[in-house]
Amino acid sequence: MLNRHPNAPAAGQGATGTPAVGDEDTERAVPGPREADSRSVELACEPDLAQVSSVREFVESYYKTIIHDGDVICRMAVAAHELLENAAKYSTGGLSRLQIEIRGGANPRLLSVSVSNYADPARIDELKLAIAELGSTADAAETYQNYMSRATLRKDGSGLGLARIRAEAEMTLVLEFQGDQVCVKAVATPTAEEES
Amino acid sequence: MTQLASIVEAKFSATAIHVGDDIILEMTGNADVAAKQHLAPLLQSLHERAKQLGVKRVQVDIRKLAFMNSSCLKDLISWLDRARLEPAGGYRIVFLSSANQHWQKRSLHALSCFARDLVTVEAS
Repeated sequence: MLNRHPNAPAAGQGATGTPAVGDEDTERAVPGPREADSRSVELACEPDLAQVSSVREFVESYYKTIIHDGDVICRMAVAAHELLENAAKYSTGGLSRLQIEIRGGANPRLLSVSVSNYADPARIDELKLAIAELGSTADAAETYQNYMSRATLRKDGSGLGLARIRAEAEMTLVLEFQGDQVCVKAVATPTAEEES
Repeated sequence: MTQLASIVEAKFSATAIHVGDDIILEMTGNADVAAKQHLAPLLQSLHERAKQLGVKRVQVDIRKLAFMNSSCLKDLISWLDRARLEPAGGYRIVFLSSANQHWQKRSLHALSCFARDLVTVEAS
């Protein structure tokens, strides 16, 4: 199950510009009690809608070799795909960076997916509003249904991506600003046990 | 059996046939940007054909569909929205899903909540 204990080590970081994976256990110099594994992927690329599925398939394939929980991989994949598509649609240029971290080895306890990119300033307010709404809802599934109803009225785009991450992938969304880049991070919702 | 539609892209394909009281739409591959250009007109066309033919069910077989993005989900939602506005006696929609494709359970649950009286989900 995801997110039972929060005391996993920090994630490894890959080098920007090329796909990279981090495996902290193989880098540990001193043998000791096996802490939660942290497996991270970092990938920087120019966003292109036609290539999002290929990137999602790559990260799915990577995590399938080390995680046996297909549902966690599915949640990661939904978040990665939707965030990358948003970057491809709304980035104003340059590289977008996908970062994924799954802690807990074969039995994941923490899942984090983020995408940062240069964003169109005209889209920032809409993004802030959506993340605030999805963050404040007490019932993500009901809010998702409202987004679905709204989607039927939209001419352009679905407006569903973030709500899908919130409801289907059961992840909370955080908006961060890193210089002139915007970062949308999806994190698996902590359980009450974790928060105590 | 009558073929109603066939779409073939590099990583997405869709085929629709009419058999007896059913229309069967099978989608395979990745329903992403490549599928998006086809999906809305395809579903609109199938909706019209379903009414013309008086079918009882439209089966949507996504067992070999690796993923569907939110843009394509929107097209499904719009179709469900149209279908549920039909007078009583219209067709039902049955999704055939794979238990191995974990995203399908989550997405189809949301779709079935959206059109509760219209949609059935079968997993295998």
